[in-house]
Amino acid sequence: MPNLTVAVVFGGRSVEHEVSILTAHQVLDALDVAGYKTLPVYITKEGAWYAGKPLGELSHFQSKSGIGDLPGVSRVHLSPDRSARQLVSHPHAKKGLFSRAPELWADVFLPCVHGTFGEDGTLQGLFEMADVPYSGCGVLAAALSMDKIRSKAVCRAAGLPVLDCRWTTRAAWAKDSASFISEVEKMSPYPVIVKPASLGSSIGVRRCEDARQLREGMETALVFDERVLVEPALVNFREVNCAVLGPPTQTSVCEMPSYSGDMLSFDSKYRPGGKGGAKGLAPKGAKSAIASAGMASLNRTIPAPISPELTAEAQKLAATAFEALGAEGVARVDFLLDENNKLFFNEINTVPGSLAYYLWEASGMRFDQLVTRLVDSALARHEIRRRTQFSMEANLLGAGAR
Amino acid sequence: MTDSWISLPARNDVRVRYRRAGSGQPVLILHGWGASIEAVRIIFDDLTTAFDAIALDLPGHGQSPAPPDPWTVSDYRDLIVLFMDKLGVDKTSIVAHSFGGRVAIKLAAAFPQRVGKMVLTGAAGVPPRRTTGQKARLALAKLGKKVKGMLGEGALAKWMETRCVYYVASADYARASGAMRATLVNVVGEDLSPLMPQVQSKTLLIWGSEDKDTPLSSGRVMASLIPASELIVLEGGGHFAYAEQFSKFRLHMRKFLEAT
Repeated sequence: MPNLTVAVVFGGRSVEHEVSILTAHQVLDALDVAGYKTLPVYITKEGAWYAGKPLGELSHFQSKSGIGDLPGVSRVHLSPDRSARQLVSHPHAKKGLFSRAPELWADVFLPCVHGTFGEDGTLQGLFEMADVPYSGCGVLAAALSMDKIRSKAVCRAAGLPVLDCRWTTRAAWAKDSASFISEVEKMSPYPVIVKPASLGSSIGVRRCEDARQLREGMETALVFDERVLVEPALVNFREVNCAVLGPPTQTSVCEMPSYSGDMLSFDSKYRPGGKGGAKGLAPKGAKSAIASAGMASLNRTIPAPISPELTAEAQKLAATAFEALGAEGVARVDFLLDENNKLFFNEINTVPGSLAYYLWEASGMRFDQLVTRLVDSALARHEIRRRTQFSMEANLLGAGAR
Repeated sequence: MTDSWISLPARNDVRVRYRRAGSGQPVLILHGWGASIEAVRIIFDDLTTAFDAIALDLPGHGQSPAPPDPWTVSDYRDLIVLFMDKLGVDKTSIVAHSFGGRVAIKLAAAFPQRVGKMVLTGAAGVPPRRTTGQKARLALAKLGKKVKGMLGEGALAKWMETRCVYYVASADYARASGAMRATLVNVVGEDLSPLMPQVQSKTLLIWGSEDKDTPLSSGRVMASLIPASELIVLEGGGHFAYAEQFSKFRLHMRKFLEAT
C-alpha cells in the first residue's frame, strides 16, 4: 500500500462540477491519511485537464484566478495510446524556463467526477483505452447506471420493485407530443414526475399536476436531455438510501435525507437554505453557493428511522441492484418509500457525493479504509483484465494466413 | 444539543457548563485559552457519531464563570478529576487543543489510570524560545507594570491599563480580566516538559506546520519527551489546524482513537 500514487480525477463537464471538487478534496485527505501519495487531476468545465499538487488546495478553487497558472500545476492529458499508460504533458502546456513539470506517474486512478463525462462510462472508456487501473464501475455498469430508463429496466428484470414509466425522445416529442401525453395519462393519473433520463442532481425534475404542467415539464426537461421519462408521483413518500461496496458486495446502514418540499431539487440537495423550485433548474445560479461540505453536509438521519425489517429489505434490494447493473467500487442506491412502507428502486449513483463515506463510517468503516479498499480493488481488477488476451498474435492479413 | 451545568468543589466552588452526547468509549475534549465548547464543537459533533463525547467550558472560559482566586494548571487538572467523578467516568481518552493540552498532560502524568489515549493539537506546555523582539516586548511589559504600580489608581494608570497593555502584552493577557490575568500568568509560566516522560497514554500529536502560538518545534519536543507518541504535521496549518484542515484532522483522530 505505501508508496503508491493515486490520481484523483475531479471536476469535469458536468452540472455537478463543484460538488465533484468537494468530493475529491475529501478523498484526497482520506488517501493522505491512509498513507498514499496523491496526484490531483482537475478537469475544467470546458474539458481541459490539469495535474499537480496545488490542485489539492480547495482555496485555489474559490478564487477566480486561473488554475492553469498555479506554479506546480501543468496541463496534461491521458492518451488513449496504451504505450504511455500515464498522464502526459499536454502539447499546449505552458513551459516556464524555471518551472518544473509535476511528477505525472500514478499507479491508480480514482474518478470523483459526478454526472456527465465522469459517472457515465465515458471517463471509464478512456481509462480502458489507456490501460490504467481505475476504481469504480467499468464502462457498461457506469453507462447503464447513469441512464434512468435503462437502469430501471435492468432492475425490473432482476425482480426489483420499480415504478412504471413512459419515456420519449426530443425528436418523437417534437413530432407528436399529444400521443405521448395520452400514453402517460393511460399509465397513471396525475400527479406525475418528469425526469431527464441521464442527469443527476435532480436538475430538470418536475412534479406535474395536469396536462399543461406535464407539457411545460417535458419542454424544460428536454432542454437538459435528449430523452425524458415520466413516472407516477408518489404521495407522502420518503427517501431511503443505502451504499453498496463491491466486489464482494457489502451494504452500509441506510440514511433518510430530509428535505423541504415534496422533492429533492438541486437546490435543496446542494444549497442548504436554497429556495428550491424553479431556481433548481438554473445550474448557473447554483454554482456559487454550494455548501463547503458537499453531500456530506446534507441534512439526513443515519440510520434511517425505519424498522430493522425494512432496513434489511433496502439493503437486500440495494445489493441486488448493484449486482444486476454490474456495478463496482462504491455506489449509493436510492429508494422511494411510499405510504404503505413499500420500497421502490429509484436510482443508483456510481460516484456518490462524498463517496457516501458518512454511511460507511456509520457502518464501522472509516474513510481511509474505504479509499484503501477502492484502490485495492482497482488494482485487482486491472490484474484480472491483464490476464485476458485481447488480440491474436498471428496476422490474419499476413502472408502465412490461409 | 442542550448544555448542562454542574457544580464542583474544586479549589473554589465553581459551576461549569458541559455537553455530552453519543455513545461508546468516552472522549473528553478540552479547548484552548480564551476558547469554549463552541471552539471545539466541530470535534465534539464529529465524535458523537462513534464515541461518548464530553466537552466543557473550563472555569473562566465560555459560559463557565471565572474562579475568584487565580488558578494554576494543577487546579484545572483537579477540576477535571472531580468532573469525571461526578459524571461517572472512570477513564477517558482526551482530545485537547492548546491550553487544554496543558491540562491533559498534567492529568495524564498525575493520574495515568484515568486517561486513555490522547490527541494533542497545538498543545502548550513546552516553554517558547523567545525571539529578540519578544524578549524586548516582555521587558517593556515588565517595566510598564512597575511604572503603573508607581502611578497608583489615577487616570494615567487607567490609560496605561487600557492602551499600553494592548501594545506590549499578549492578546490573551489583554483580554483576560481579574483573577484570570493572574491565572494566565501562572499557566504560561509553567514548564510541563519534566512531566512529559511520565505520560503513559498513547499520544497522537497533530500540529500545523505554520503554528505561530505553539510552534511545530514544541510539537517535536513533545514527541521526543512523551514515550508512546507520534507526531503528524498538517502542512500549511496554523494554531487552529484542527479546524482549518478538519477533514484530515478528523480522520487521523478517529483512526488513532479507534485503533485497539
